[in-house]
Amino acid sequence: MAKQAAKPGHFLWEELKRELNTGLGSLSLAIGLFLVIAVASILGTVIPQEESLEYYQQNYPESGKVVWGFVTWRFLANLGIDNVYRTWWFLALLMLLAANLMVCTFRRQIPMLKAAKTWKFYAEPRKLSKFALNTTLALDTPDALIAQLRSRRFEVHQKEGLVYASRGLLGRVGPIIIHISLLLILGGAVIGAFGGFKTQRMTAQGQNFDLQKVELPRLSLAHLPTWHVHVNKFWIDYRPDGSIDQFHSDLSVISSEGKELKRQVIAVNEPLVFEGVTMYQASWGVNSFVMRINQSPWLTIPMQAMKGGPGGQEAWGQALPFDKRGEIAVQVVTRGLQGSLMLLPFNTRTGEPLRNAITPARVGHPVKVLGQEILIRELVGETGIQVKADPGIPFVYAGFALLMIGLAMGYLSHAQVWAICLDGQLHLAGRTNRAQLSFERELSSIVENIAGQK
Amino acid sequence: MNTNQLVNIQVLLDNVTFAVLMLATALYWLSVAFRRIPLIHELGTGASAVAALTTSGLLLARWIETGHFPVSNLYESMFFLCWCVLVMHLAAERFAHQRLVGAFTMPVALGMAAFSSFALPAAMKAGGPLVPALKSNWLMMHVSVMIFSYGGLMVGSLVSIAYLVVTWGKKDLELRGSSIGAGAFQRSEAIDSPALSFALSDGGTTATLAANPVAQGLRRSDLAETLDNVSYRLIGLGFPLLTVGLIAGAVWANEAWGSYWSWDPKETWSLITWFIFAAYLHARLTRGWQGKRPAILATVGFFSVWVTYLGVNFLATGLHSYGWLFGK
Repeated sequence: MAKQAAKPGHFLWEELKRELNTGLGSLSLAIGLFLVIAVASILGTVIPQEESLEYYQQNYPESGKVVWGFVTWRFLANLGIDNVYRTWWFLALLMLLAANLMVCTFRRQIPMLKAAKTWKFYAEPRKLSKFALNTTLALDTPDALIAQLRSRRFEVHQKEGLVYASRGLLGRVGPIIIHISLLLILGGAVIGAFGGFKTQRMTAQGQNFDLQKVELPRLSLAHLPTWHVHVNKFWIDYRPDGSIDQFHSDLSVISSEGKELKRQVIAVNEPLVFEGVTMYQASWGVNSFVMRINQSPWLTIPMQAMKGGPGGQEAWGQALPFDKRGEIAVQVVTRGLQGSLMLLPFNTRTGEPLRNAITPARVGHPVKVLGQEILIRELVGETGIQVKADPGIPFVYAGFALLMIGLAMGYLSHAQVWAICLDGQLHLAGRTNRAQLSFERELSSIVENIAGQK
Repeated sequence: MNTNQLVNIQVLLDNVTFAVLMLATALYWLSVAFRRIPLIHELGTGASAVAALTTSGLLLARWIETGHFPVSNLYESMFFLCWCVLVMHLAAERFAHQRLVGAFTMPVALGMAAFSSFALPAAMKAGGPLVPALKSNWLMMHVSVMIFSYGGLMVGSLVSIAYLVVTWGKKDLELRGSSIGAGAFQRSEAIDSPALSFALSDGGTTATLAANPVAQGLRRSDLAETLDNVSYRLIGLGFPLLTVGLIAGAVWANEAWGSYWSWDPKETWSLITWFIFAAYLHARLTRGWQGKRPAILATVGFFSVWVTYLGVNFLATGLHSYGWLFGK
């Protein structure tokens, strides 16, 4: 007593430890967190995420038709619901879950496993009769029972007429491994968030992109590569019906001294990996076209993506002034890189199309529009490359592997059987943690078999 | 066989599946309503097995026709889900020796077959080549495991619904299946047992197996306990499968476009489902959550699986905008 009074810190520590076990590591907290995180996640699938401020002001106005009476754009912004999954309280919930997982695993599950591992005999039949599954047979030796249990892959221990058998202890290890692997995955996600970077680069065929100006979060520890990438070629494979079969980008990684370090053709599902940085085929577009009018020099004209092309399909286009007075222009439009275009002349003042003069064109074939010869030599594509470095991946993948092992182990049911042979009677009891029905059936059939052998 | 023949076989098997499932549903319901009439239940099991076979044939014909595993549009994945539900149902029935299971699972399987046969427009039913994003070996790994897990979770939660129906108006039962092994002891004498904290119960109903005089001493599960344990084992199977499906999806996403998790609506809903069933599995470990509450969680999970599988396609857009009802 005196010792404890002399060390109030020790007492506090004990108290704190108890709090940790009962509060932070508790199951009710875990269940509560599961459900709260689930509900918070639903919010993010109901309310559009990461839109512009104008979008929310328009769709969630403060006056007039207020959504459900209280959901205004200010309400959403204040609670961070416009970006739920990155808002502070959602991340705090995830951290609390991680803390709960940690305490539960190391302060509850592992001690419980140790208890389950130490096998012990029961010596009094009275104790066995407390089990829900118990019976008594008129037998004076446990040998038949032991043989039955061994043939069913039980590990049997015996001592002077007392029997303890168990099977599937791995079923109790499974949940611990699952929890540790989840911690590994969360840890990998944190490492990725601080040590990695991610960006998109839209680059025309023949051009370069570098990774010098990547926006990094404030606390980032990521370092950016000094090499750059040259897009040698970008092309699309089309199916006979005109739908897209596959995208390809031929990329070269070039050092700051101008040396080619690696070259690879990437496609969707086939990225290029170099020094921990991965480059994925993510999107595409039409960058420009090369043309001449009559005998003019070759001109490279950039194209812009057009919204709402015919039938809602993607299209790219550019308007060219077409006469000296600036009254007529030609809109050059294409749906992709297959080589077919439409030339749509229109009146620049009224915007009226000149319907009679609409002309389809093909790359490499000259056509006449309003008396002028137009030749389009080529369409230049641009490739959208997603660039990403994530040093947390090894941890996440290791977590995935371990998680699958833990899940497989966790389906096993830990079965235990006790028996006492006393005065010509065999008292028998058993229990299992998961497969209750199969175990009941198995134990019945064991009992029938040994009773039948008698 | 040419494509035309394969398509004709599919149309035939599609209709046969629907008819057989209708028969199976009727037989199961009759067997529950008129327990004394023999053979109805066995015929119901037979009909559901036939439906599983015709569905397999349909999917196989589609696989041969398109050359890829048939999960690339809603029609194909719905029939695959129907097949998974039927397989899980047959397994559950075999395991539980219970006719009640079919009364709940067959109408759901019937609904799936009816929806894909009648509600989907013809253009949505036809098989076709894969879009670039789906051209990967991961497609089969991710989607098939996902749908198989939906099947397990759906049948598991349907059995939980059956459990709720059976225990309607009754006192809470002590559950006897969890990773720590609750409920292994009898209630009356459990007071000084070392596992007391996990064994406190509200009294399970005891049913002895009278038919077998030798094993008479062994307490056997009654109807409610049986349903509960079947449900627990099915969800215990569906949950790891869901996790493996999520892992396969995460690895695929990381290999294909560089991020293993992006909070896309379908991803998020699968995580919500995962959390609900995680809550179910953990609720069984806690004393305060015994009885019907885990079954209620499983019922919520049933709807969550549907939202994950279908609802997201109607609500929003995202990375998973393939094989949708309205296309993109």
